[in-house]
Amino acid sequence: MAVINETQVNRPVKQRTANQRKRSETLAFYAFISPWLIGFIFLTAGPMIATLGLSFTYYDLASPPTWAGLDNYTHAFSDPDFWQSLKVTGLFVLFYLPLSIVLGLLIAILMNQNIKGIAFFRTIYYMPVVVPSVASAVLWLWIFHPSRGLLNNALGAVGVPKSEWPYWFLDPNWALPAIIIMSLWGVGSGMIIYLAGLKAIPQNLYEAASIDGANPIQRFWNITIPQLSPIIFFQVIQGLIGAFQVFAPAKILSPSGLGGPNGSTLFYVLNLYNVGFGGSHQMGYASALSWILFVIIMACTLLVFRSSSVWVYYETERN
Amino acid sequence: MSRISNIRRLSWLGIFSLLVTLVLSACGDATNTTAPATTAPAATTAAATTAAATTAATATTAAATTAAGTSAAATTSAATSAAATTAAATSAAATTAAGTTAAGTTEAAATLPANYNKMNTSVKGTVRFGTWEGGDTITQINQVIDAFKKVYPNVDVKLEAVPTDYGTKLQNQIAAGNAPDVFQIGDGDARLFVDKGGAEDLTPYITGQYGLDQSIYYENVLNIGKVDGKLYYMPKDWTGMGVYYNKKLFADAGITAPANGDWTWDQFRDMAKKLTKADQEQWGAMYFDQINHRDIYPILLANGADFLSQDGTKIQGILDSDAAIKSFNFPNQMIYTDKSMPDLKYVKSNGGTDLFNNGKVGMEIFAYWSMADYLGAKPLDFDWGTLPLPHMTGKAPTNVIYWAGLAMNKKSQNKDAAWEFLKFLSGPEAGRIRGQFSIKAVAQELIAKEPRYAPFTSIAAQYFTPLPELRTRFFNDTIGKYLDKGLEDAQLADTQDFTQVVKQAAADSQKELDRLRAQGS
Repeated sequence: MAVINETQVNRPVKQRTANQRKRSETLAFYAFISPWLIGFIFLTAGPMIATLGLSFTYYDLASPPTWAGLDNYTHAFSDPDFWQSLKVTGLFVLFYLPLSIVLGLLIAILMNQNIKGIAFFRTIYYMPVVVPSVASAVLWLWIFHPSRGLLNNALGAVGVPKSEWPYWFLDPNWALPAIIIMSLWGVGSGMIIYLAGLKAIPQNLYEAASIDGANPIQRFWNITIPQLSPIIFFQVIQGLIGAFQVFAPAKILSPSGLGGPNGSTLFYVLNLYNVGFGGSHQMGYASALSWILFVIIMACTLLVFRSSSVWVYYETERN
Repeated sequence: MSRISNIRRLSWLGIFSLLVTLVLSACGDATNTTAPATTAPAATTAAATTAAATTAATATTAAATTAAGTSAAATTSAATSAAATTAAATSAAATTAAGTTAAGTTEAAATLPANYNKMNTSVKGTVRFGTWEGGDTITQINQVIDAFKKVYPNVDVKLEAVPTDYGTKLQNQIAAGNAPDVFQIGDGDARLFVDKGGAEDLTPYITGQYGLDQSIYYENVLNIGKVDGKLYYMPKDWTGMGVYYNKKLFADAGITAPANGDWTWDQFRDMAKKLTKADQEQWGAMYFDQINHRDIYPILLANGADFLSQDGTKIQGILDSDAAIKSFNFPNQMIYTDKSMPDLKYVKSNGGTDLFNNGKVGMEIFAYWSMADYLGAKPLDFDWGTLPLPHMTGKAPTNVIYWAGLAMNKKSQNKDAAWEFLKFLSGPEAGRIRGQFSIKAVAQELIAKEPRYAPFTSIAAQYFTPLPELRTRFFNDTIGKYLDKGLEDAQLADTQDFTQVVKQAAADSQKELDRLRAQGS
């Protein structure tokens, strides 16, 4: 009886302290994430919702927005610049994304070798990532210079006559490939993540496979790739989102920053910027364009997510 | 363990290179933003001019300033409206008298009217001044502000420099009602701020009690700031187009520069042919970088053509007229028929704008912006001169202005003080500090010191017409976009005939203009 009594008396007290602790933990949680939370609400979510509203208006910053209905959206679909920018961006994603994944992985494998001084090479390969995109674009402007550039002179050195040298950023056929080549310079950011993934693969898997007689290629396909697949998946998602939002290279490298020549570097975000920040500031239309891009990126990301069950290997799921 | 230290090393490297690039890009930004419409070229000469200024002129201004200063002091201490009005009345009489004599003796009268303006030194409070200037030009503006404070000790001027995305920020500020009291504006945005009620109509101020003698300015330059007959902008910086020429190449080819700078586009073309030596990659003439709509504007005007209707509503039928298309094709004849001008691909891949500096081009059509380089920072190793733009045979000369103006915020809380600052900023004293040659006297001093400035200033000023950019605020969304982009693509693709390019640009521009105009407001 006495025991029961005691527990009956004590229980609420214990519960309260548990609740209190839980509440203070919750408070601490929110306190700790508040810098991010406040930033997200005011600097990301707020403006996003605002642009959604503005996308249904005509708005030039200088006078209050006026209702436009779906006009900005319907205009996008009849605007040749919209289609051109979608085409350029699509081509860029199509070529850049697979190349950056493969190259990043290959370099990571190279950088995973136990060689003296490997840290030096890792640093060198990572360096381009810390160079701001504007600075690297200016650098590449020199590399791609039609007559004095490093690249064309290298072509000359291997016997390509001067008359055949590409004009790169001045030629509608070569401008986009040039930007893709330039962007691949930054694969180091992927490399460092693959490298971390490679280091985390348990060595005993390779040892077991070796004992079973698997050759290096078999080990690569059957151990490295499945083990790295969650990281590759992450890189595909990140790369996809980033590739759709490319802006700085085209802004700096196209002859007058307008996505030329002949619209060949009119990236989606560059077009969006020109619409919103050039001319008479069509912020309503720019907002609509940014929401269309959001939907496109969202759809592509979902598609990749859906496909992940086929090719991404999670150890925990199998167990 | 080693991986952690690697990462640490990496991040240090990262931080270091980030800092370096930040500093670099900051420097880059500063120089970039000063590139268009800078006062930099004028700066050096301005300093020189002020130092060695003709004693007469300096004496006059000094006298004027002190006179105005003392009368103003009297006004504030007495604080009677009677005193103020008499002071104003006398100076008004003086101004008109001086004004008429100046007009009578035309440009020879390099001296300023005795009382060029009537100062209202009783104003006080804060005046905010918005500018996109950075670097050297900011130093000049600070000097102007210091000079202003000597005359107006009760006014505090707050300089707000926004070197990047200036127009966008200003537009936001106008919408939010917290724009600076006085702000500068580029020719592309000028109409927008009139339409959207950002810029105050300065007509009542300039003709009012504390007005300004407008005859000190080149009339055509002052008129650029007018929309529908009302003055919204005082001139800040401007330049016309002219021709730089290589005297050595002229001598080698056995040609002489036209006497009195009177020459025609046909002569220009002939001379370019004579100056060309294909085997030595030496060219007769070139435009600065790619040819855009403004480069062609003087020829367009001479051919009786235009970009758009005066009311700013019609592009198709005007931009694509035969006379306009003929004008756009003028440089093409020199590039592809005469082969006396390099094509754009050649220019861009062979040193670009340095082609003239390297002595590879006989004549270069450009604005005054190269003067500072040629006179100071990047002196040429050959003798060079400047010429006014050629004119069409039997037609009056034409030119096109690159311009930045100064406006007063329509919603300013301190308009009287803002006007005094605006007036001072556009006046002779500030003009001498900044090398502002909208003022005839300042331009004359500059030219006396360096005659090669004349084609871009005093001569060009006679032939300016109001800018087509000020006819509609959608100019940059339409012609500025489709025509310039079309011309650039065509030049890079070696298109020898611009007919289709111009027609397409006219159609696209008209469609976009109609759409934007239909959005109202």
